[in-house]
Amino acid sequence: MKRLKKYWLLLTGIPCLVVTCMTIEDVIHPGNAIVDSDIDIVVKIKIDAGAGGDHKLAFGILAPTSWNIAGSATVTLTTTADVADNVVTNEPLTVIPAGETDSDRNNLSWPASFEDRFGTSDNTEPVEWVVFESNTIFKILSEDVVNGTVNIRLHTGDKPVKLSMGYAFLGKNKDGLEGDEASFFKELEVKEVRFASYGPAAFGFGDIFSIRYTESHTAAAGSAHRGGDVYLLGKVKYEVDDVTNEKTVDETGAKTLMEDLGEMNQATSWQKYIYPKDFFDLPDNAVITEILVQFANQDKSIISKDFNVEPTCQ
Amino acid sequence: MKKHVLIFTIVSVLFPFSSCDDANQLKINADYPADFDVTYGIGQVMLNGTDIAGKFPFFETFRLTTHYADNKISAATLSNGEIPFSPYDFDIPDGKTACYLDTDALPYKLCVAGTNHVIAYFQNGECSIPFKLDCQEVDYEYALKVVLIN
Repeated sequence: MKRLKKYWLLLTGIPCLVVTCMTIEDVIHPGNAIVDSDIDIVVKIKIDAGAGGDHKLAFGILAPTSWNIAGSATVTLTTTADVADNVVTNEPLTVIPAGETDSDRNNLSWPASFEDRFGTSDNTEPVEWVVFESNTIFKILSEDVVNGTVNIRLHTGDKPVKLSMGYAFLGKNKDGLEGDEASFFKELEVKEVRFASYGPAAFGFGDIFSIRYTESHTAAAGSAHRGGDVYLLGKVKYEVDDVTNEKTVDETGAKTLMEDLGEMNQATSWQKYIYPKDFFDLPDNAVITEILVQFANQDKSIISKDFNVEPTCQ
Repeated sequence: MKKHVLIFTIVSVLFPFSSCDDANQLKINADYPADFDVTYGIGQVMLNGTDIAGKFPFFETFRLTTHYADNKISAATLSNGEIPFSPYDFDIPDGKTACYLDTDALPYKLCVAGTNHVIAYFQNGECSIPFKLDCQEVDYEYALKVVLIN
């Protein structure tokens, strides 16, 4: 019976050794960003006891090749652990030199190894894994659990793009232990310096929806926005009894005043919820076919180009 | 015995509303009249989980009054105020309209008499009116609050 117990313990212990010892616990990641701006990402990781071997941490980021994050990203690691040698604070992670290879992956280069291990999601844009490493050698064979926070600052490129960003980590050269790795992918849309967005994700012209105008700080210098309130102006095309009509709202007052949402990710946003028939003062039987919006200062000087509001309801 | 049956009946009827409107509990006391009105306004307007009540002043103009006779809802009066749409897919009845409370299942439904037109739902202390406007993927719900009891 005692012998059986021993095997039972061995059997139940194996999955931990090979599957669950390195995990990504949480990722704090923006869904949107603006071209040519910094974005901050936080990745919470956990290295459990039994991950095998004393090794450096290899941390990869999947990003557009054009962003050149090897030369521009800042990546730091802070950990908490019972074992003092496993505790680091804001330790910079550095790009693994190009000549180094992953002995656990047929001596592929580290970017190729990460691509082989984790793929590139469904990206159609040219993307690359850039792999960073810690200077600290973590003593993972101990019974310690290491909780880590990886703080990443990336600079987006100069073109709008929609892609899946990737984050992955493992123990560097850990002598063949499979399963000690974790990855996470998150969609990111990088937009122009001035853009309009709408919510909820699905809506029709007969719904209440929000219209949000965002302007990056990099755009602010050349912006026509004078720094005060922002107003929502618009034009609607609608049909009544098969006759097409147009109507414009171009006043700057309480009806069109947008709510200042403040600053986030180096941009400022303003938002207004509208029920289109009410906003444009249309008859009950009007069928809206098109809405164009633009954003203005209090004196009606226009800040932005026209944005075509496209309903997203299926 | 008859008195106990009466109290039990009154408590049973009012129970669904007890946490919805704590003031209603006062009506169980024999010192209070059995005929009264409870008027609701809109507390929150949830759009896919986000409260947008404060974004549109017209939501403040909505009123639903439930009329109690002998401690039971007997009628309701609805006013859509200045809201430019209706939460109902039926015409809002004019004036005081006979109603009944369907307690067959939770949430309880306040319906227009002689129809299955639901005016409001009552459950777990919430008085609500869920509805759709255009896109079926967008959920709206009024969470009502008591503004007047008389």
